Amino acid sequence: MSLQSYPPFSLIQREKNALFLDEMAALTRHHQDHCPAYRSILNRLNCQRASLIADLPFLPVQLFKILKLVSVPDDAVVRIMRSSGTGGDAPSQIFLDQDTALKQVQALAKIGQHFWGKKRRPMLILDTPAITKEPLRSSARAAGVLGFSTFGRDHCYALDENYQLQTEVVENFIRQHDGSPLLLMGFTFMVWQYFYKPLHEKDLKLNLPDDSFLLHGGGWKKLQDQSVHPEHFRISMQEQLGRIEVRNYYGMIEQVGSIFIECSAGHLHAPAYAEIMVRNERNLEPCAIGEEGLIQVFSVLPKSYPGHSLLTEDRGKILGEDNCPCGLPGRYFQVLGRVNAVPLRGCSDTHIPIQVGEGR
Amino acid sequence: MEIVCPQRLTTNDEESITALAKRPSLPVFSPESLGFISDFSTTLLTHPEARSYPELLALAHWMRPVQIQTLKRTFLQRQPPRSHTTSRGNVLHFAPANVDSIFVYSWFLALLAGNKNIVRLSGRTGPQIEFLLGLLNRLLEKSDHKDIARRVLIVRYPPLEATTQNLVNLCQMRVLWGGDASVAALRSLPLSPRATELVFPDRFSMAAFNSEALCKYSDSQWMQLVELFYRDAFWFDQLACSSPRLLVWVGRKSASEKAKTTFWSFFSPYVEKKMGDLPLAHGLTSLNTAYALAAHEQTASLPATKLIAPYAFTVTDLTDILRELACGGGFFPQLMLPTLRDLAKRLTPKDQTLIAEGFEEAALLEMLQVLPSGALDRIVRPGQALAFSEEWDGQSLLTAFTRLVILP
Repeated sequence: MSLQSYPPFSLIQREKNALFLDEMAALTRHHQDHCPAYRSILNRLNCQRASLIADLPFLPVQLFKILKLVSVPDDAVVRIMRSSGTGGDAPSQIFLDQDTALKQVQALAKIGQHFWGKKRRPMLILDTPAITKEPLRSSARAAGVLGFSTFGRDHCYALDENYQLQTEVVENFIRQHDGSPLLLMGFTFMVWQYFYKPLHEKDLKLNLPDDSFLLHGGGWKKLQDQSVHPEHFRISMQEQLGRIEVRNYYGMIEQVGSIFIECSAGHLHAPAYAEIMVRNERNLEPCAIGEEGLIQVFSVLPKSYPGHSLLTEDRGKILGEDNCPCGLPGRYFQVLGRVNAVPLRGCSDTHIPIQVGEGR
Repeated sequence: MEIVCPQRLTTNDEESITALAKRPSLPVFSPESLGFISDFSTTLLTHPEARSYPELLALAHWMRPVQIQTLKRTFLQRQPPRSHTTSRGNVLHFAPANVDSIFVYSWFLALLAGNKNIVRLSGRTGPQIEFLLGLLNRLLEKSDHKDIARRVLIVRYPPLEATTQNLVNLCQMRVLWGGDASVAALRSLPLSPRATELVFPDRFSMAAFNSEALCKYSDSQWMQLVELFYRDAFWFDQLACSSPRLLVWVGRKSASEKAKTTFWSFFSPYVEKKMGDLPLAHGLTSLNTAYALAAHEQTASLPATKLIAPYAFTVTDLTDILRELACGGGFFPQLMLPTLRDLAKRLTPKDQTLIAEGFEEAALLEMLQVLPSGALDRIVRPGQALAFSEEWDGQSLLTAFTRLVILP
C-alpha cells in the first residue's frame, strides 16, 4: 500500500521509516530513468545503497532556477509552477503532469481534513481574486491559497484587485454564514499587511465562530523585518477575529501538496506523504534531534519532476519523534528562518506591491 | 535623477548637466587634474576608515603622484610628433555594479585626458561606495578643486531609457562597464554621429599552474603562491572580470594530482585563517552551481563537501556553460590539461586574464601563437590579477579618451 493511501498522521516513526525509504528509493530510480539531467547528476554523486533516507541523494532547491528538470514528455505537462525570482534571479520552474497535480490536491485534502474535518467550510480567502489569473495563478502564493480552495465553499476574497480590504464584503460573508465555522486561508505576510492591519486600524473585531480555522504560510521573513513573531501574530489575529485556531504551515512551490501544518502545540508535523531532516551547515551530515541546521524535505508526490528530496535554504531543527504533546505521531520540527543573504526563494515574495510602495 | 557628487543644493539637475556640457575642457594632464588626483590619493591613503577597504587603498596607491607622473611621461612619449593631444569633450561613464572603485579609475583617466565627465552609478549601495562618495564630496567642496567640481557629475537614477538617451546625446564618448545584458541594453541607444565608445562587458578569467614546476616548490614558495592567489580570488569574491574563476593544472596527470592536493593543503587553511567560515549562502550557491554543471555533464564528480569552505571540484572541459555558471564566492572548478596549448585552443574572446605560475616565458609565448583570435588580454603573475592598468581589455584608456590634432 502506498503511503499516499494512509491517513496523514497514522504512522509512528518506526513504521513510517521503512515505507518512506522504499518510496523514496523508487522515486529516485524513476527520475533517474526519466530525467537525463537528474541522471547525469546522480552519476557524479557517489551514491550507495540507501539504508536511511539520509543516504538518498538530494538536489539543492535553487537548482530549479537554473535547470529545466522534468521527468515527463513536454506534452504531458499541464502546469508550470513558478516561484518568484528575487533580485533579478530567474524563477524556479516546476513541471506538473496530470498525475502529480492530482496527487498534490489529494494529499493537501487529507492533511487539511485532518485539522478541520471533512465538511466543506465557507472559505474566506485573505487575498485578491487576481491570484486566480496569470501571472499570479502559477505562483507559490496561488498554489497555497487555491490548493485549499477545493475544500471550502462559497469562496470569498477579502481583498480587491488593489489589495484593499473589502470590509463590507467580509462582514456580509460572515453574517451570511452566521454561526458556521469558517476556513480562512492566506499568505502570512498578506494576512498581516492587508487583512490584520486595516482591521486593527479601524478597530474592527469580526467575532468569528470559535471553531474557525486560519491557515497561513509562506515564510516569516517580511514579518520578522517588522518584528512580528509567530506568537505575536497569533494573538493579534485572535484579538481581531475571536478565539479561532491560527495555524502556520511550511511548504514550498517545489513540493506543493505535502505540506507541514502546525499542531495545537505550535509544532510543524510531517504527514505520511512527507518527511523532514536537518543537516549540519558545515559538513551536511545529518543532525541529531534538537540540533540546528539546514532543512531537507522529502515528498512522495513529485513524479513529473525530480523534487522528491530537496535541500532547502531554510534553517530549522527537529524537535522530536512520536512525542509531541499534541499526540500526533511522527517527526515534528521548527523552522528558524532562511539562511542569511540568499535571495528569497520562497513564496510570499511573489507579491509585487507597486501600489503599496513596498518596492522591489 | 539624483546627483550624488558633487553636492549642489541649489541648482536643478538639468541645469547642472547643461552647464557641465557647455563648459570648456581642461588640457591633457592639467595641473588642476593632477592636483585633485594627488589630493584624493593622499586623503584616502591617510584616512583611518580607508584601511578597512583594501580595494580603495589599491585605488589610492594607483593614483599616487609618482604613479601619475609615470603615466603622464609614458603617455606623452608615445604621442606622434607634430601632433597636439586633446580631450574628446564630454565622457559618459556607466559604472559596473560589482566593483565600486572602477568608476574612479574610469573617471580619473578621462579627467587626466582633459574630459568633462558624467558617471552613472548602479543602484547598489554599500558602506564602501558611500564612504568613497563622501570623501569625493568633501574634496570637491575645496576651492582648490572648483575647476574639477564643475566638470563632473556622479549620478544615480533608475534605468530609464529616456534619461539615458538625454545624457548620451550630450556626450562625445560613452564608456560602458557592466554585464552583457546591460551593455546590450545601453548600446541599443544611439550615440551622436561623431561620438565613440569603450565597452567593458562580462569577461572570464582563470589561473593556470604548471603542475610539474609546482611539485618542486618549497613550503615557503607554496605559501607565497597561495597568499597572492588568495588576493586575486577573494578580493572581489571572484566576481570581478579579472578574478580567477577556474584553476587549470597543466602537466602530466600524476603531477597535476599531486600539485592540486598540495595546493589545497596550503590554500584551504589560508582561506580559513583569512576569512573564517565562508558565508553559508555562498556555499549553497556553489553547491547548486556544481549540481547544475553536473546536470550538463561538465563535472567529473560532485564532492560531498563543507559548505563554509571553498568548493573545489574537477570539471571535464572549459565550456561556455562553465563560463556562464561559475558563480564566484569560493567556487573553484579545476581542469587538468597536459599542455598550455591544450588550454589555448579552448580559450575564447570571453577570456580576459590568465594568471600564470611556474611557466617559462617561452612556453607562454608559444601559447600565444595558437591562441584563437580575440582570446586573452593579459597574462599576469599571481597577485596581479586585479591590478588595474590604463591598458585594459586590450586597449589604452588614455588613448581612447583623447584625440589628436595634427600640426603642419
